[in-house]
Amino acid sequence: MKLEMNEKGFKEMSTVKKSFLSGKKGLLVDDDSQMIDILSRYFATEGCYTEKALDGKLALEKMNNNRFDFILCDVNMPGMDGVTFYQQLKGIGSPYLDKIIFITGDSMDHEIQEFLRSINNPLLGKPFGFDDVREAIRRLIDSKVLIRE
Amino acid sequence: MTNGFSDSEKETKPPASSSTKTPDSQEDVPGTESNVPPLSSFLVDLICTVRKSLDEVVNQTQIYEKEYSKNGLGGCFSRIRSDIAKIDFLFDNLLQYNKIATPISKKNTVHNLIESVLKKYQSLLEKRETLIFRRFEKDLPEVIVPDEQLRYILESVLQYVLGLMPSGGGISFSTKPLVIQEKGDEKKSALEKNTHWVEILMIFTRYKSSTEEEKILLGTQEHQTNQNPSDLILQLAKKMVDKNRGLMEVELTEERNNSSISLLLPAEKKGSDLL
Repeated sequence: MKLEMNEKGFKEMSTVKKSFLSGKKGLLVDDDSQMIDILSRYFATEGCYTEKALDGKLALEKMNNNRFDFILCDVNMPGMDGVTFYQQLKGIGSPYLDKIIFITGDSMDHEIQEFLRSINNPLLGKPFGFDDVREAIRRLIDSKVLIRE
Repeated sequence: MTNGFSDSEKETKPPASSSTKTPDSQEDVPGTESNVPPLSSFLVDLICTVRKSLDEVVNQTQIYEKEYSKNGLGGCFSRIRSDIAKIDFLFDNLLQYNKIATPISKKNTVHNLIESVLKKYQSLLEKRETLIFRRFEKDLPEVIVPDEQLRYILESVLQYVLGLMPSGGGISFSTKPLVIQEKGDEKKSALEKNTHWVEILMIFTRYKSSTEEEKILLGTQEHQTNQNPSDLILQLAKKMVDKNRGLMEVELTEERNNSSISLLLPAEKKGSDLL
C-alpha cells in the first residue's frame, strides 16, 4: 500500500526537524519525473513539502492555489519550457519571479544562455547533489530575508 | 589487519593523501590531459606574437590618421586599420578552428577522478580512520562518460558508502576493462553486446545488517520505499549511470562484512576497434 503524506502531515512532521527547509514548501518543475520524484523524497527527509509539475503550464496551474517558498524549474522542457514559464509570470507581475532557481542541463542554446544572463535568478547545473540544491535554496531564502530587512 | 581485504592491494593510511597519486598518473589536473601537438602550440604562439605587433601598428596608425587627416592621407591609414581588422578576424577564426580541430587525448581519467574524489573527502576519511585500497588496472581504457558526470557518480557513490561504513573500515577501489561478447551473461544482459566496458568496483566494510544477504536493485519499488537521503543520492548517481548507458549494481552482503558497488561504464573505442 502506498501512503501519500499531505501538506498538513508534513507541517506536523517538520516541527521535529531542524533543517532550514523544515516547514517550507517548494514547487519542482521538470519533465524528468524520476528526477523530481527523487528530489521530492529528499525534500521530505528535510521536512519540506513539495508539489510536482512536469512543465511550465502545469506549474502555473499549481501556483493558482498554492503558496511556495521556492521553485526549482528546469530550463529545457517539452510543452512550456522554463523561459516561457518565467515570461508568463513576468507578464502577470508575479511575486514568484525571484523565487525561481533554474536547473540547467548539459547543453543550452545561445538564446537561453542570453536569457539566463539577463535575469538574476540562481542556476543549478546538472548534475547536482542535494547539498547543491540545499545551498541554492538557502541563498535564495537568505537573500529574501536581507531584502526585507 | 582484520578488514578482510586482500593484502595484495595497495593500502593507504590515512587515505587519499598526497601520496595517493598512482604511478601511472601522468597529470596534475585530474580528469584531463591535453596532448596538444607542438605545431598547434607553435601556431597559437605565432598568432599571439603577430597580433601584438599588429596592435602596435593599429595604435600608431590611429595617431598618424589624426595627424595627417588634414593632408588627405587619413584615408590611407584608415584602410590600413581596416585591413588589420580583417587579418585579426582571420586569426580569430584560425584559433577557433585550431581549438576545435586539435584532438585532446585523455589518459588515466578514471583513476585520476577516483583520486580527486578521495582527496575531496580526505579529512572525513582520516577522521573516520578509513583505509583505502587500490587495485588499478594499468592502461585502463577511457570511458565515454563526461568527466564531470563521472566525478558526480563517484562522489555520490562514496557518500553513500561512507553512510554505511563504521569507523576504521576499509574501501577497496579496483578497476578493469571488460569486453562483453556473449549474450549469456545475465548480469550484463542490460548492456549492449560486443562492446567495451570499464568496471569500477568498490568493496567496502559496512555495519552488520540483520538480514543475511540482500541484493538491492536500485530503482525497484522495494528500494524506492526507503527515504534515507544517502539512498536518494545513490539513486541520482544510478540515474546518471543509466543516462550514460552504464550499469550500477549494489550488493550488500554479510560475507566477510564486505559489500560492493559495481559500476560498468562504456569505454571509448580505440581506432583499431572501429575497423
